[in-house]
Amino acid sequence: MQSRSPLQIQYAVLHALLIRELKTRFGAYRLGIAWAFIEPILQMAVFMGLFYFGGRSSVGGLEIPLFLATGIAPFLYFKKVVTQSLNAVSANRNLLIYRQVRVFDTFLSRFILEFITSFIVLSGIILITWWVGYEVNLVNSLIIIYSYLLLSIIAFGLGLIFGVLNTLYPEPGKFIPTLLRPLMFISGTFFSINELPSAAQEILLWNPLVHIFEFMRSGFSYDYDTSLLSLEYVEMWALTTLTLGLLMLRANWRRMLTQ
Amino acid sequence: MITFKNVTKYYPTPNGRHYILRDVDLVLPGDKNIGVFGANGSGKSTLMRLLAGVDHPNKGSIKVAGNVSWPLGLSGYQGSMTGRENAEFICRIYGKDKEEIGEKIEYIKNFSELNDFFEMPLKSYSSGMRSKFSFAVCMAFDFDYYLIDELTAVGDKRFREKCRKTFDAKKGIANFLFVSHNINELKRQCDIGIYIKNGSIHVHDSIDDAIAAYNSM
Repeated sequence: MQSRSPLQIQYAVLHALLIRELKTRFGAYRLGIAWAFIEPILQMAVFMGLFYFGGRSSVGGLEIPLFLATGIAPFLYFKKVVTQSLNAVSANRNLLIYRQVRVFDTFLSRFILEFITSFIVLSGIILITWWVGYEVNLVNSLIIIYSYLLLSIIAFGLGLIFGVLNTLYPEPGKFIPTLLRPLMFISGTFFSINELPSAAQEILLWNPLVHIFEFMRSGFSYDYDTSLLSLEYVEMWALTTLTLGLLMLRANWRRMLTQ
Repeated sequence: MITFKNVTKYYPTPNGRHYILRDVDLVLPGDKNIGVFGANGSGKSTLMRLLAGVDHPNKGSIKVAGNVSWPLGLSGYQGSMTGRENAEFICRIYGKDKEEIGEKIEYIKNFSELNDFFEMPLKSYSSGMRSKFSFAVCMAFDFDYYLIDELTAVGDKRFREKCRKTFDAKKGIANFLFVSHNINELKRQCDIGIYIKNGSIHVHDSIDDAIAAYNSM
């Protein structure tokens, strides 16, 4: 058997795991990608209805569909990465008998799959919005990409943290999805932080997702108010969650193998 | 050659640590087929996992010169994936390209004699079918050591015969570590025998001695 470099092995393992995850995530017929679009579009439709009855057509210079897309689609991506990470190990438990496959690979492959899928979904929805005839101005694409990357890092880091906890302590781990559910209502997915009373602003600004979605929106507008937001705050979250997640995995991966 | 250096392995239990191995220093020859004895729960499968590098000692280190297979047993395949998908997965993690994967899949399909079941999820297999599949997959790859855990006991007679022939063909170029409760099988296949008891590994230089020692236990 030929010897391979660690990089070649890593690539081979990720490739094999991605193909496996692709089949379970999207089903044998690959129609599942349609489902990835349907969930955010349905949620957008509900809130579009509410805004319509409220007589609003734009928020902060963004037309309603675009405003909602930049909150709801990335939020669902965040939630999906975290929930998929919870069972990354248990779903691949039997594949860990091959020495090439490491615990980290199961997390990484699931994350990569969601990263690619959600990027396609978000760009797809924005394209549809533009194609239907709403106004879409790509003013600052760098801030959009950067906030998307920060969101990815935080999602991956939290996924690692919760994934390690859930694998080692499955009983308390059952509460994690319940904790995630109300998060949507405090993350600025369907409202702008700028339009809230200052008491609410003060509390909600602790949530890094609020900053991320608002920064993303500012990339689509010439005059979006970002005075309340802080990139440094989001960066600190990304650094902290990723470091903590990696450390927790590093300290526990052997225990996770035999759990 | 397999080298154990001060190896300790235990599992935590509610009543404290349960030791499988305690400060084991040992060198096993690299050109012998090894039969592994031991009562149920004595740690045979743990030993296989340690050798395969998928479980790790709590203290010390284990070095194996050469390529080691994964621990071949009845468990350890993804039940939701079909035989073909499982086989493809293994080919991929061993870095085979498209053409090689095609050849290996063809070999595995023919050797395992699973026919239509090859396209069915593994959870629908009987234990006999699982053992055929597992054996066929492993034999498609060239390892220096094959770790075989209670695998050949379940197949039908004709398949066992086929396994035996394959073993014989591989013997000059590769070595086997067998875990089996079938003494006759071990006697036929193995040169030396080891058994695990009270945290240490006892080595016998002939398989007959090992069997005698095991029986008098």
